[in-house]
Amino acid sequence: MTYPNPIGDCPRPWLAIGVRLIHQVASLDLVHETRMKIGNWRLSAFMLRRSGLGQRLALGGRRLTFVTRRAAHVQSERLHSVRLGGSATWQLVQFAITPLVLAGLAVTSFVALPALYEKLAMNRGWKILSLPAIDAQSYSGLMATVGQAAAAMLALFFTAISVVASTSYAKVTTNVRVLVAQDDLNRRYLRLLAHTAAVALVGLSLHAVSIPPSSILAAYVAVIAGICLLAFFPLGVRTFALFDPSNVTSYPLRALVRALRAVTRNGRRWLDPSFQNYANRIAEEQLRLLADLVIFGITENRPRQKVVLDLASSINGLARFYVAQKSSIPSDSLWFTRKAEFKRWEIASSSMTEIALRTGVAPPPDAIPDHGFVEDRCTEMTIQCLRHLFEREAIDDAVSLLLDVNRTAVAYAKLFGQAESMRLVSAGRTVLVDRLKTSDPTAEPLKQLQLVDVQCVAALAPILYSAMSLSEDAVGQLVCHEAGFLRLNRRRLYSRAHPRCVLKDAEDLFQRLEFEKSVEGVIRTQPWYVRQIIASGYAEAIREVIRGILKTVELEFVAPASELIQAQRPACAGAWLQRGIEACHKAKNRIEVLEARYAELKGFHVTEAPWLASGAEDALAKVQAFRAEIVQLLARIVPDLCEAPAGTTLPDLLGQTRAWLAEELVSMMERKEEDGFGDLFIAYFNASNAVRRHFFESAQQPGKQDYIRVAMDAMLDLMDVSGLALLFSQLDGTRFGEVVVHTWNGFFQLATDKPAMVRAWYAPLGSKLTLPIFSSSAMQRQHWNRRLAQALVDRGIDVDRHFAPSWDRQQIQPHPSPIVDSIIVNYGHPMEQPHDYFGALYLAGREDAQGIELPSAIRNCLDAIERARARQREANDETTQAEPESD
Amino acid sequence: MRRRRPSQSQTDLDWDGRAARWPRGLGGLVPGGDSNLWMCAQDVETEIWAHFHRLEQRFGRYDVEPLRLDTCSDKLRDLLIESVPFNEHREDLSGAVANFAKMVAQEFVIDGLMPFEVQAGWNQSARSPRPEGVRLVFVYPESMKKLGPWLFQIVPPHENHESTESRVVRLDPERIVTFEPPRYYRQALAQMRSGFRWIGRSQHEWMMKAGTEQMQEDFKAVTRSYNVCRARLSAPIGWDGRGSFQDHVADFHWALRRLRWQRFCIEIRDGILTTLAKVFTRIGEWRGESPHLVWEHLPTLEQVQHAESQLVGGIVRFDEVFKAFSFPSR
Repeated sequence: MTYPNPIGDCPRPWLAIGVRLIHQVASLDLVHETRMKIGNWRLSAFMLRRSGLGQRLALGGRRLTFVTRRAAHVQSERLHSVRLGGSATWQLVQFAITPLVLAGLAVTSFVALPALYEKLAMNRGWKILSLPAIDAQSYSGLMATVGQAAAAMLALFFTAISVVASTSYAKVTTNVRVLVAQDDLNRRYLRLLAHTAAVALVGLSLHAVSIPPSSILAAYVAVIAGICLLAFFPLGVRTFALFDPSNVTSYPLRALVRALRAVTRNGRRWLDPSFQNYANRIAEEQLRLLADLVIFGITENRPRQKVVLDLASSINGLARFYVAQKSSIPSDSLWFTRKAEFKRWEIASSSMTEIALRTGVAPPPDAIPDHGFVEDRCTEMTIQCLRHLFEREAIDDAVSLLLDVNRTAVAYAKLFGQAESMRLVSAGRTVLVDRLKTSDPTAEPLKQLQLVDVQCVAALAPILYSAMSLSEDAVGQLVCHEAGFLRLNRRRLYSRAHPRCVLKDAEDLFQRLEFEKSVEGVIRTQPWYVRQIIASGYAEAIREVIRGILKTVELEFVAPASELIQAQRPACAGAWLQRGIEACHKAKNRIEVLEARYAELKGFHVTEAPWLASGAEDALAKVQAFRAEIVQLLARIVPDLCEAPAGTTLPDLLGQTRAWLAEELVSMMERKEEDGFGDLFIAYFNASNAVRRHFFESAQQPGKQDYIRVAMDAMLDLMDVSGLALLFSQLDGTRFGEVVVHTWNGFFQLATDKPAMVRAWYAPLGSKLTLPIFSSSAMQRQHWNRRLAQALVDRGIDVDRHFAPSWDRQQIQPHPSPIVDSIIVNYGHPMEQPHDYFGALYLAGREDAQGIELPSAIRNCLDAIERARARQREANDETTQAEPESD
Repeated sequence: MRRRRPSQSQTDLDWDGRAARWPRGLGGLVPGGDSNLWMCAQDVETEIWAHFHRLEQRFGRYDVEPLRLDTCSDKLRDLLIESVPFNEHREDLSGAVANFAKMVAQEFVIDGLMPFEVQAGWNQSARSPRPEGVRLVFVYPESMKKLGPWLFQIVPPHENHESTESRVVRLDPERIVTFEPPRYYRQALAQMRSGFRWIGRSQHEWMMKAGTEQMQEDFKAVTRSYNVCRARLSAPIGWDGRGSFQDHVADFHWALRRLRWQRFCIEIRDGILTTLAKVFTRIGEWRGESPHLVWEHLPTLEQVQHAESQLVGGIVRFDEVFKAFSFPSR
């Protein structure tokens, strides 16, 4: 009979089973049921356990169990430790293998080979080498000394590096600290020391086993020991340079560049996704390392900011190098970090939306390549540096950094990276505007203007160079790359830099041609089709660049200037606005060039795909609107500029502003644009009077009397613009003249001695021939005069009637206004100038001018007007007489 | 559209045909046993129908008749129109032949050929030596066996109610007319039939695996390979897979294939019409006439050649290239 085991089938120690069976043993029912015999061994054991001996035995057993288990645990731990130690020992051996092998090679070369040769020479009768003999004692002494010295230097040098790492780099990540030890010279030096010690040790060991001393080995050991000794000091001193984080940037940069080269067209496995992914991970790691270094650089308190500047310079250098290589990386390469792109529900695929509706989970975003991830990281780091420099008031360094930013922005823009260039410039602008708004405007104004100027120059890069990169090469050089396509040569696809949108189209076409080849066996697609696809890509690039140009003008010139004006920073705003006018001018030129290139590209377009408008026409109109807005903003800051101290220590913002305002006023007259003319004219009026006052005051100083001519030039400018307004009003029936007269009336009302004021304004008209004819004002006035003459021609007025014979020309009806009719144009220049007309029409007509002798120029003008009036009267009389006859 | 009711006048005729017909399966879930094959067949059918239909105005009237029968009496003309099967009850010659041609073309893709027995209907009471009716009866190609100069039809046992064995019917080769695609397309179509059926079997499996994320490969790469196979198989005829190659094919290549497709459809259509013209001539001879089927104003091979040269030269827009084959908007 088998006894039922209520515990289970698992084997247990019999004592434990006995304990667990107590209740069964005691239970008579169980005994009856199982028919167990009382005298069996289980019951005997139970009874034994209940006795005193049994209890003592149990206690002893428990103690023995505890001791045994503890001993087992201790042994287990020791075994684990030994295992770890064994692993570590193996690692140590692995580390030491290379130095040992090198040492073995050295000893073999210098001891074994000569000994072998001598043995062979003796046997075969060759000439025996006459090596210098070395004393065994000296040999062992040399080896022992070199071995000890090398070990000591090893320890010392490593200690020095450890000191650098543990003091300067105590608060940075381990990866940054590792860079210190990864310095090329340090690593090589440490290895050389280890090699020297190992060779000396092996040499000594060989000598200990009765191998005769080798003089060559001794010489070798002496030479490398000497090198180590001599290099110790320079390298030790050089170790101090590692306190500067900018000196360790070369290692992450080198690793990144190496990873980058692997994924460009020159890399061996550049199309392999695993290699691309690996290169991306290295790049990400190195960029993080650089970011750590930047944070370390800007968090440490340093008296000078050269470290930060050097870091930023390295980063910008990297960015410039990268952008030159980037165009030879395929667009879908895993080198580019992926970013999420969420699709609009309405344009997502139905399967995606169906799944979303059924599961309640939003459609997942697409992972698209971020083609600007390196540039964006570099921009972030650069801006961190710039912000730090502003915080530390290192303005000169900030200017240097902005110049570096400018170079980077130019490099981006030249290599079709307008968007990256704009992002870089925009980030710099945000920091700079914040700085200008919060800093004291009177503190170091020149440096502030320098900052603005450098920033604006950088902001011109996306306008100038992006367009230039698309227009400077012949259109054939851009488009005619069909050979590489039709031979399915992928590397040739990346042999020339193209905008990313062109590359994407080209890569797509390439895949389609591969499909064609695999389907048809040959490529039947014609070269014209390939050229068309590339031309379409370039057309898209041009449209994008035009949009980018507009965005740059608005965000980088108009908006910051407006912000600065609101923040009461007129000087900086003025500098920004003047660069803005330059930007508008350049934008206009570039857009026109791009439009011409766009028309050339259209010649390559054959199929029915729509050829979109370039957007140049709208863009030019917007640029014109931006320019008008900038001039209006300039007019707003004129009162502040007039109050600013005039001198040569700062740029002449007022003078430039006055010139731009005048240009805009003349343009508005040409365009018959009356809105905003009043504000602009008042600004110009005030600016001209401020300039006049300034130079009159300067002329009071001894030796500067000639400045009075400059003041008179400014007066002539104002009268010229006023005269132009009066003439254009007569010409087109506009109200510019009314605005001018109203302004001048207000000016005269404030004068206490009005006749004297009239005489003062007559003076430049009377003595204008004594003024310099090639001054900036005189040249600008000549330009306005030519524009007036051109406006007369454009409006159909026969300006040559006074000089050319009339019989062979069609008779043109003279202008009804005798004033306009009186204007005589000779070779594109009016004989009587607009300021003379202003004197004749306004100054001479004032009541305060009665009795004051008129300057000859005004008299000539009045005579011309009177003659024109008489001519018109005669013509009217002739017409009136002729009409009844004809009836 | 002029449609006619089934002819009542032919019900009392005695027909002299021998070929037997019985219900035949589709050969799979879709006709032809593969969805790609069936789509291709439908597309050929539609294209040939479009050749005619683009000349049609409202209610089935043609501006210019694409088909006409020269030297043919009205009686014979009606008889010939009635003889054309699959005519969808069109009374006009062009409509009837167009519907017939599209069905035959579809069968070319699915089975490779389409034999008919020309059966004549005789009016015993009229004692006329001329047949009063003619009809073309489709003979299943797989049931026909040629043995030397003789031609037989094997009727399967389940259709042969008289015995459990197959019945053999001797056919008159003179009465059998076989519509076949041009010789140089036959091998391509045969390869396409077998190829589509073969690769089509795996499609369901790998697509289902992709849906359940059991697939170890890149789904896009598998799809591309599948499309490459389909495009290679259909390359000789230029079928575009109903736009399923659109993600892989360049516009120029697509245009070339489309012209090749047009060439295929035109040659198929002309082949069918040529054979039908011969049939009409033979029937006409039975009645002492010699009718001549003429077709014009339909897309031609010359137009395809011209379009190809224009395309290669890159001198006109794509829509200009395809203007001759496009369907005019109404």
